[in-house]
Amino acid sequence: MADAFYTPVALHLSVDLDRHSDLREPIESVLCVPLAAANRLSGVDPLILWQGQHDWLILCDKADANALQENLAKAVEDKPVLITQAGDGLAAFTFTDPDAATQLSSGTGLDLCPKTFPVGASAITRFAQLRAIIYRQTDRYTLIVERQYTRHVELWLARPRY
Amino acid sequence: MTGFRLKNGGDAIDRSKPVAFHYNGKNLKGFEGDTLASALMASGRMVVGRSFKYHRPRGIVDSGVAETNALMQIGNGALSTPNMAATDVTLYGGLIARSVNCWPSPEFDVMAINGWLKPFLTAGFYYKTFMWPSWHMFEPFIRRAAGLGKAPAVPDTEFYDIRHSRVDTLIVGAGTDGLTAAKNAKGRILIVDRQTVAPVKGTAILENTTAIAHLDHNMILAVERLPGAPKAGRVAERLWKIRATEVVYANGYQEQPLIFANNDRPGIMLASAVEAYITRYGVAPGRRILIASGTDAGLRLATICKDAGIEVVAIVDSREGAHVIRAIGGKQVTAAVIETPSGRQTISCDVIAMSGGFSPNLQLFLQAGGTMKRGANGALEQDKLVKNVRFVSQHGETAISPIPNAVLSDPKLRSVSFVDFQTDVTLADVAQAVQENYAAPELLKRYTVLGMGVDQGKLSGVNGAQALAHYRNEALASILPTKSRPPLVPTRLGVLGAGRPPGELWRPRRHMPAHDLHVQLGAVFEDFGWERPAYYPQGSETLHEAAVREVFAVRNNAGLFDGSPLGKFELKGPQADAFLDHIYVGTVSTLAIGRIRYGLMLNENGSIIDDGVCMRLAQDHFLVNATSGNADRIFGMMQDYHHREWRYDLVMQNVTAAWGTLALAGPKARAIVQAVGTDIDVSPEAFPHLHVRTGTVAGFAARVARVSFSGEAGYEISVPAQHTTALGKALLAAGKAHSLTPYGIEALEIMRTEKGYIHIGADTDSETQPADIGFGSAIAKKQVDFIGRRSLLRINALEPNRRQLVGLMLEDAKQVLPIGGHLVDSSNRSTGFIGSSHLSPILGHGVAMAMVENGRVRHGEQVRIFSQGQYWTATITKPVFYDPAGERLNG
Repeated sequence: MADAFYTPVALHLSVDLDRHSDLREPIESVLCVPLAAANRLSGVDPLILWQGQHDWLILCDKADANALQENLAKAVEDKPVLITQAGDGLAAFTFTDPDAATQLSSGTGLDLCPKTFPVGASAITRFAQLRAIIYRQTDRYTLIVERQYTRHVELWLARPRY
Repeated sequence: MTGFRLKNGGDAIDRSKPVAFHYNGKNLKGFEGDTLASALMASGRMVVGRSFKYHRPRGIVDSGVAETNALMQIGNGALSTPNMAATDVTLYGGLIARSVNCWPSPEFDVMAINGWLKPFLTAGFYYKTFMWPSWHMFEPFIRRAAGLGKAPAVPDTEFYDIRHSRVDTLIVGAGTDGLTAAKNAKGRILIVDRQTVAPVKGTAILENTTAIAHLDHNMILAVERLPGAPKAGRVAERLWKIRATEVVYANGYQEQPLIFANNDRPGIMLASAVEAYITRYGVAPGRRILIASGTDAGLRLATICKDAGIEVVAIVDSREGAHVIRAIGGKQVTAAVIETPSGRQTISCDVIAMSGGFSPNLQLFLQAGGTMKRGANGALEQDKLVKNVRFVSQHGETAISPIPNAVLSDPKLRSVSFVDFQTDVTLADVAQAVQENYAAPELLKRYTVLGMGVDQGKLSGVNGAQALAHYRNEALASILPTKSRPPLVPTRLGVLGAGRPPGELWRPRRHMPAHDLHVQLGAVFEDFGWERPAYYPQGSETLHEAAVREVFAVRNNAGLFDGSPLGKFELKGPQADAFLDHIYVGTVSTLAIGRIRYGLMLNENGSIIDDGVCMRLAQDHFLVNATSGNADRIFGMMQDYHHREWRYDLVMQNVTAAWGTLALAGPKARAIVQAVGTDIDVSPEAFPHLHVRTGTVAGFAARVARVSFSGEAGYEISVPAQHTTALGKALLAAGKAHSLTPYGIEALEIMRTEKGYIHIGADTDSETQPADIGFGSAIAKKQVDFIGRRSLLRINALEPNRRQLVGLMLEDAKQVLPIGGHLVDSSNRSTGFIGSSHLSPILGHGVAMAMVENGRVRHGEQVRIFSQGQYWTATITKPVFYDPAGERLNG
């Protein structure tokens, strides 16, 4: 079972850095960390997750998401960049049990072995038929799905297992 | 003489722990560690089933997964599982087992009469008989007679787990070859084996686990049996999906039976099985064993029998020219007729242990794409290898024993010489198939059903190919057995579906952000892709009564509808408008900031796939709506076109889940928005229909769109999803004075039909194009290319007789036309269909929308509608029944 379920505070950043490479520097200077590379985390708070081509999720714990959004918007004013509040549409589940990788492996084919999915790894995958993000920090795995599927994930995690 | 428990021996059993079980209504006992098969044999049960077609008595033939005769129905009711091989069922206290395909018992089976009908039931008989007067007359009887066990009539109450695993090397089989492979492997190593396995350093082990399929990219499916007796709520099995860099098959060899007349009689078993029952379970299948073998396995067995005190009456070694050509006996073998270079003789025995050589278990290797060939001695072996897949098992006895000529050539003998025990295929059937030109192994399989039983030909494929080569008069080397399909062994459907368990988890259900509010409001939910309120009954209201009340509430006062599932995509960039011009049939680039435009989306075939509105939030910023059920698909399509066709300077996001949307509709909607508090000027002049504003509503940051799907003045208020419930409560409180009523999908469906608003997929089909629903002018005016445009210029798109959207009014005002009903012409040819139909509460009569041939020029014409044996007459009208001028909408 998950240790906790919560609605994350998150910004969704979309910017085509292939076309607008000049925007990387102002964005990263606002975030104070580099934008995450594919399948890697960047930073701690805010924590940056790569979500696919031109897409990042910026998770805030104590960091002020509203201020970040405002500052990012200023930094890329009039440029083709979308910075939206995404947390409302997401549900996050954290797993700190030593057996967390095994628990998660019931729902995903992602290789969660510590060697191939070390601390700092993240992936877009499928979990219990859903599009999901899974990432690993020092002591825990976090699973993020769209909010409307919260009950489905809760039921999946609570289903009878051996 | 029958089987019995030896005084000594039995590595697998614990004689201090007796286990009681039920078999065909009788109470029997075995020991812990027994299989059902060994316990039945120890109890003297030699006839354990009947054959598929002729209902011949059958006994246990193997001790492992190749068992083809001893199929059992295990358990009762919801815990019942059909067609389990008794050799593969571990005994537990209270086990209930029944033989299949026999009545009233395997010892006396009424259907054994089929044996007398044998001449009429040869290979392919069902292709040649039961033709007159009709196959369907016979079909119910055939279907009832066919099949083995019975599928349970009630849902399974056990659960199935699933686990994914990734390894560098997967080794299937923990025998000597498997363990050697494990020693030489590096990285993450996993061994799976259907038995218990001793620990191996540095290697993960899955015991009691059977690999059942080799899928693409080295994905292996395996099923792990979990301990414990069946009971409701237990997790019975676990499906493993193992992705391996390298797969090593060390799953050994399967001993093959010998072919001779009556080789299916109870008491005739594989030599390796006899050995296993003696050594593992301390069970002797009889007291006088005749060993018929073409390998040294027979000699080994003779020693084992001698040590166990069982008499070996003869060893018939085909390498010395001796063969069993016929077994004698009915419900148990009593003697064997032997042919030797010096003549024939009959030897009394109660068991024939046969060994026709060993054939590699290549099934999974072949599923991986490998191929097989005949070796020098005619034995099968791996041929073309697959990258990262190996078969490593070794065996010294691979030569397959030839079928005696006396049996092959004697019609009487070959008609009872079984090649496939489970499907009752004899040498005579193979000969007949060849005679009728079903002479390729694949055709032979389909014509005779050879290898089509649940054992997938483990005991029949090799001998079947040998017999086929003989009757085709070809060299054995030229004929190979057919491949077997997954699963390798009989597998419960439940465990195959472990990733999608039945019930709530079958399909992910989507809940709206204000779901709990709707529950509080008494909504009745239905699955519209999302769990959505269909209606909000009051007291004992029916669906119809509630929907009618809700419609009147919206038409006369105001209604509140949760439109949160509506697809919402944001696009931003200097070329976003140019991109959307390609996506929509209409022109987006001319849309002013703060304005909304309705549009259609097509596929490349020119057919309508979605509709919705597009809002211009800023010069370079758009919000696009897609229908709720289509949102993910449409967003994917837009990304796809952006990536591969029109790589314009823009980015896009699907923000559907991040926003909750509540729609206020009705003549008092504006007053409620004002009452709840907003900094947006909502006067009709400042904020007319098809405009969008951002601001605050009830204190929440909001986007408000003047759109309507009901035909009434509407305000769609979108707020961050977590505030949807609070906004809903605020609106309901502020709307109390205006009789604000929550309404569901049912009321919305009625209102949009009254107004003539189409529902894509209901009112349209896969051939409907924009001009068919009145959007032809948008295409003519458009300058730039858009998805589907080319197809709209095809001849069939311009045909005058295309189906076009119309309204239908019934002569009888109180009747409702059937949705899906066909509009038919005088010759009853379908000329169209009804997509929406309701009894309009506000108009007091039934209204419907239909697509009908050349409908636009047929207004006023009477047409006939047919559905399920009934006819209606209706008049074609314009597809707008309510407020055609749109005065209420713009109010």
